[in-house]
Amino acid sequence: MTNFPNDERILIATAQKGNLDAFNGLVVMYQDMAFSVAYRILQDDGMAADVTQNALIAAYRKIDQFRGDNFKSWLMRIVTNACYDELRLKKRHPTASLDDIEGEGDGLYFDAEDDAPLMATIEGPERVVERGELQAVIENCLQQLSASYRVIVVLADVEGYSYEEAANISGISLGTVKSRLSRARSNLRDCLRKKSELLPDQYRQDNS
Amino acid sequence: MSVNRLSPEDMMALSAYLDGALDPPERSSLERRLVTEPLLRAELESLRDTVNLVKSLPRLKAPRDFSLTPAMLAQMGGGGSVSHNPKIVRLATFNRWQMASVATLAASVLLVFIGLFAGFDDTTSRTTGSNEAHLSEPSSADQAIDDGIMKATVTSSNLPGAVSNETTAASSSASEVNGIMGTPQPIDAQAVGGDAEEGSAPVPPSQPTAALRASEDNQDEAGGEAAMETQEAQSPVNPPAAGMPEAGGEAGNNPTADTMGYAAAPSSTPLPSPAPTNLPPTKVAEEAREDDTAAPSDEPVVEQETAAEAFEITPLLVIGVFGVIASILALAYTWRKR
Repeated sequence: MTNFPNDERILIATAQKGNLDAFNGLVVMYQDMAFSVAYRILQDDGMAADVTQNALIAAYRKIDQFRGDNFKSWLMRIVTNACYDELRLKKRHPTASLDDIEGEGDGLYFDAEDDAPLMATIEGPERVVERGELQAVIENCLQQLSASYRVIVVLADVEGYSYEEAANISGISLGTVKSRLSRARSNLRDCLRKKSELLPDQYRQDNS
Repeated sequence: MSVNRLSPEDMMALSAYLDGALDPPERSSLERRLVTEPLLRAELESLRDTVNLVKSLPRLKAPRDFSLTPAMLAQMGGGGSVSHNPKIVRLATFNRWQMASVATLAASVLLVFIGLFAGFDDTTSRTTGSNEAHLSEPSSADQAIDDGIMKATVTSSNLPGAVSNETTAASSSASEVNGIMGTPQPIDAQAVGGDAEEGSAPVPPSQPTAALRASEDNQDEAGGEAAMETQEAQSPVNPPAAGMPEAGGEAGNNPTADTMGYAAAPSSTPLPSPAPTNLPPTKVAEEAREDDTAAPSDEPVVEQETAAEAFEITPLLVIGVFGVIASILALAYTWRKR
């Protein structure tokens, strides 16, 4: 995914010379995506906003280090790393580290007792109504994934990044991306099946 | 549940197949199996539904504009690493580094000042020390009090040449004398001789001082007379010893003289002009040689000399200067990084 608009290139080059306005042009282009990813990983509005803001500041500070042609991935890597830092800091997820999750097996889905309090605090009824039932159910199942699985699902399925980009952003190998994505999808499917009674008919999954 | 009937490898293959991420051989192999294995097909469909559901999640809108402002950057300074989110943490990190640099700078500047004053103190204390030593010298000196020397001493210690100035003058005059007389260390010999009698340690400078002071003060108007008087005053048995206590007493009891002494020290030109100066010290030196030759050690004078000049290069001073440079560099670096 190397769509690299000309104006984005100019904005980057100008921002690399220290032009804050140019960088803010990039902020406007990517802030929704950055916040969206941060929210889906962190599952908390306030935390996601703080992390997004700080990640953008960090990106501005080191934009002169940016090389290559995929600014979006570069920026998302900063956001994702900031999310992991936040998760580690808050110790909401014992499995927050990308690397110590390997080999944990299938058991991690719904082993997320740690997620339960987080869920309870952030997913208020008004949000469920606001977003619609289906979306709420999906978000709910997403929340129950461990962080390292959730990151990959968010990057690959929600944001549509390729495996390579997801690997680059999350700093893991391609093979790990594949295996995590597979397990995460499998776990999500199980979750959605459990909640299938809440889903519209067309999304109901048979317990074949 | 049917889910568990498939191996993780099959699940991974299905997942990758959905994303079109399988190699052509793997892909055709899987497609062949899909035709013949209903379970695999069912799994693929349920997985596809799941992925479609997740993909249906909308991208969220940012709750506010995250555009950066200069104030934001100033407030959230610091290194390039992504912060651990809370602004306070980042702010604290920034402040810690900058404050450290500023604190180092302040401490270094303080060190420089301490170093400077320590240097001064060093000089002063040594001089004062010798003056005190003079003070403690026996009262026999009193008998020997000679008007000339008295005058010379009093005059000189009131003059802005005072203590350290004198010391320097003494040593330089000494070397001059040496040069002229061709005699090594005459003044030192005299100095130590005088001291040895009294059993007190580093007195010497004042001994030549009494005379030299006068000689030096020739340059100032007051000195001329004093020098003459000093010459006359050579007659007593131990004139330098007689002069010393007075000089010491004067300097020791008169803090102003001290202050003037070291205040004037750096700026004064220690080299006395040869012409009027040489005579009295020469005489003193001669006398000293005749007088006493016991334990000639020039250490005290040398010590005084270095002390007088060393105040500019105290270790504290050096460390302080290095600290100032280092912290300024650190500050500049922090600034540049912002």
